Amino acid sequence: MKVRIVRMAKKVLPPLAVLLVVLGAWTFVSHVVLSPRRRFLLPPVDEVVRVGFGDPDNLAELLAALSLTSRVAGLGLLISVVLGVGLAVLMAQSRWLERAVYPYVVVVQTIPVLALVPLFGFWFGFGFASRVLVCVLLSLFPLVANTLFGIRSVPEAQHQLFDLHRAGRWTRLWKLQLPAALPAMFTGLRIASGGSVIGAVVGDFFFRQGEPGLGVLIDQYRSQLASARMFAAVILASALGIAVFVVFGALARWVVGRWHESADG
Amino acid sequence: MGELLALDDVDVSFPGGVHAVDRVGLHVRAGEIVALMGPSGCGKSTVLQVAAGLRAPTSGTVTRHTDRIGYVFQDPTLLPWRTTRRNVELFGELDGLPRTERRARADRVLTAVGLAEFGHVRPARLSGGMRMRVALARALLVEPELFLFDEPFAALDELTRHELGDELLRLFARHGFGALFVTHSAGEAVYLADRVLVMSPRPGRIVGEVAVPFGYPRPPELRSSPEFAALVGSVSQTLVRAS
Repeated sequence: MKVRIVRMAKKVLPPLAVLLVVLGAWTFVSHVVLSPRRRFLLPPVDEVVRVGFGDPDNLAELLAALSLTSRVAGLGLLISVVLGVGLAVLMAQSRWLERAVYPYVVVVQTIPVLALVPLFGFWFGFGFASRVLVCVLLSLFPLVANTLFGIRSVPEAQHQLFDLHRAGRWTRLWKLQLPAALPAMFTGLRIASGGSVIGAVVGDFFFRQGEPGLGVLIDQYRSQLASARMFAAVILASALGIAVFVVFGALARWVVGRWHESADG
Repeated sequence: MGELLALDDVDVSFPGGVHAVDRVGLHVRAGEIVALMGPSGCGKSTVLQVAAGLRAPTSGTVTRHTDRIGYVFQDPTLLPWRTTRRNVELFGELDGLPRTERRARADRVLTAVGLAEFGHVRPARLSGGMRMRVALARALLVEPELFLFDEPFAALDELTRHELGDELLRLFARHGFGALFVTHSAGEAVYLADRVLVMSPRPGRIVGEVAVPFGYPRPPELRSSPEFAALVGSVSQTLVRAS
């Protein structure tokens, strides 16, 4: 018990120290370096907490936006998982299919999302659907690439086990390739989930119709020079990204940690 | 005793022109263990893969008189996400055995290799020797008539190797399968087999056959007898002359 507390402390204290240093520097800059007139560039920590999170109306607005952004990111990620794993499984069926499809997956990854913004607006409107689509664009590639890598990395000897008993394509996929690919898929999922959160916030800046997400609020507060509230929204957006990262890390440990060492990362 | 496996004039060339196996002929009958030994890279594993149907010969014929073939790889080749028991059940699943039958057989073979209490453990927590026992149990699940071994004990320490050799002979005495055992150890070949076939370096041909006169069961003390040492010496000689 005591050992565990010490170990926890060793893990938690160093980053906590860095956090305190950063908060200290922040306070120093906003109170000492910046004149009151220019203080909006970096509002003091206590003001961000008081105005951003302490005021019930503002908090309600932030939480509603957080909920919307989470839904956009979640739906985008879900679509990417289904589409990404589906595409990877399809490509794993033959080298020919992989050669045919893979270039387009790379294209989707490399097109600057901003270049597609007007098109998405025309086709799907400047609201929820287009925001989700941005999330899909930003999260699809890591899922496809990692799943395909996982499926392709199955050792030849394990395939021979299935050859010996003349296992069919689907048996092999279900009992060998997908389980073997799970650790890689979770790595992809973790990267993709971060991408999806980024997509949901960035998408807000361009597709502003409908309920506001965190990105919409950030941009509104910016135009009003309400910098304490803007900082609060930015912090919330970062917290969402971190939470998603931690949750998928824990999920990976829970699912594959019992047999695969990479899940510790 | 009936013939289980016949390879006649089997030739294997790899794409790119490497001639791996040169007109190999060998026969395995029910109730006998045939060891196939040779220097590394001589194509003995390739011969085994041809025998198992994992690889088609470039020319020649392969005849298997049974479908119940147990194949044991060089590595245990367990699926790391499955527990011991589920690894052992794998071939039963692939062959469509009913669940209750699969369970019953898995219990039986795990007991036979001394791992009855490790059914729920995943491979990462087992020692090298135990993993190899799981691989043996997995092959036993199909109740094989013909056993094919591809240097199964090569990566283990000597003591574990001897233990598993004895284990194998016990299983052999109980089940009476025929076996083709690939190895590069003359001692292992002589200890386990009725006949030892010796292959030349690549392209692998069978260049000698040594009959082992010792009957079964073979006590572990056999390994330290002068007759055993002499026979191992003569197998090694054949091997040296071949290369």
